[in-house]
Amino acid sequence: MRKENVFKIEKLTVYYGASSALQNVDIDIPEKSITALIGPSGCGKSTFLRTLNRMNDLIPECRITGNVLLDNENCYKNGYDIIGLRKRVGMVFQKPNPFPMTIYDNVAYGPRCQGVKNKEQIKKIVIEALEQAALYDEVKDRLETSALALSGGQQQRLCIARALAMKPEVLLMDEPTSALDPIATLKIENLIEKLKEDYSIVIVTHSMQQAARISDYTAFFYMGELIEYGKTDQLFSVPKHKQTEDYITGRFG
Amino acid sequence: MNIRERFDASMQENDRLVLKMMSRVKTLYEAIFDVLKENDIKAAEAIIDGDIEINALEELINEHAYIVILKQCPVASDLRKLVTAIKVANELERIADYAANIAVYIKKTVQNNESYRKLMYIYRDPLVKMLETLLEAYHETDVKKAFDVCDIDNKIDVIYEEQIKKFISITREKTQIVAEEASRALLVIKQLERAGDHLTNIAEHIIFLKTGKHVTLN
Repeated sequence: MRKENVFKIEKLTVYYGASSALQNVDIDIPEKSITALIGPSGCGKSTFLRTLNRMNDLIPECRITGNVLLDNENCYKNGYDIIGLRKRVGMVFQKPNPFPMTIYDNVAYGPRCQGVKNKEQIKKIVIEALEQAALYDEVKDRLETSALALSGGQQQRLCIARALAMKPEVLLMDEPTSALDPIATLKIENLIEKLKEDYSIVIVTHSMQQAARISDYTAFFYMGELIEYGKTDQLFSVPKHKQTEDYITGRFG
Repeated sequence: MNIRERFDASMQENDRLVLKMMSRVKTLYEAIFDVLKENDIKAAEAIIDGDIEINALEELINEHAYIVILKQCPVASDLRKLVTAIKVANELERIADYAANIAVYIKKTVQNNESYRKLMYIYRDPLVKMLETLLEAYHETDVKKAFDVCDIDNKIDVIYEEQIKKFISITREKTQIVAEEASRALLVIKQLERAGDHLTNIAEHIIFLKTGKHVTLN
């Protein structure tokens, strides 16, 4: 069955001041799949990721042209509900960044901000999100202790739970395992693969093996351009472009 | 700038081993046809030794490719190259077995079998040409040359079909001894025909190496 596209990006160009970080990118992000963005540092992959929930708005010099359509609606049109967008498009960062509060409050924070008052309802959301993030069993007896006492891998899963508590449609992940040890990495990867049943996931990774292991689609960026985008199996076995081949085989530079 | 020197050296070693094995098989086939031409029983012994050496090369290629895959996590054309090496080595090992089987036939056959040996010798040029072309095709990752190999195999198949008919008529007409001789010779020809098929398989693997697509040529 062919999947629908959750995002449709048309002729996207992103400028930081006078120079462009991304040029003329066209790409469709399929729903309920894992899309990996790869490429050397400075290639524009994180910039691209951040256009999907308008995180780049926080950078004063940043300006974009082109369209970023979420469910066929341009996220950059005037009056677009940015808070609503970030609720629908959650994000997990490279370094686990739990709030300095209890495990429970970390996950409850989002729903509370959204105006959920009913304690039972919040509790249900928190437990569900922790379960989905494969963390609940490890922390169920210490939900009221500080999140900062968790291990790095647990903290990252807590951040994923915090994002899931907002019931997003899309989850953006910016190198979510690069600060974790190999076992914690595999746990997160395993989790991401499970999450794609319900969420559309876009992940930036510097680990080509990680992209090959978990993603359904891979996009290779180089110097602000989307060089190649396709099914992961195809891109890693028979890439169409020489630049892609050179990068994934480690013969770059 | 080369940033994967050790890896590139491993890939070159892989190529070196595959080409060495292919070239040894070619030498083995040239030798087996010399044996067929002269009915040289002593030289047939050397063929059997040559096959043992080729078996060892297959193991070496497999082990080497396995370790490179293990340590370097190759992708794209690198991965295809290592997978191809394992497959090609397997085909070459089989092809060398056929040569050894033929050597055994020569040793066992005491009667004057010259007319049969002449029929067998017809396979020499096409088989050696296939091996030569494959050496170049692998070395240059040349799809066109891989297809040329398949064309030669088609010619072998035609020769084989004709010879089979001839052998069947011989076994009908002559005495029991002749029929036995013809049957043995038939087995040899079957080996030569199969060698052609496996050489064509190698051509298919080279096409995979270049294009990533699996094709069936025979």
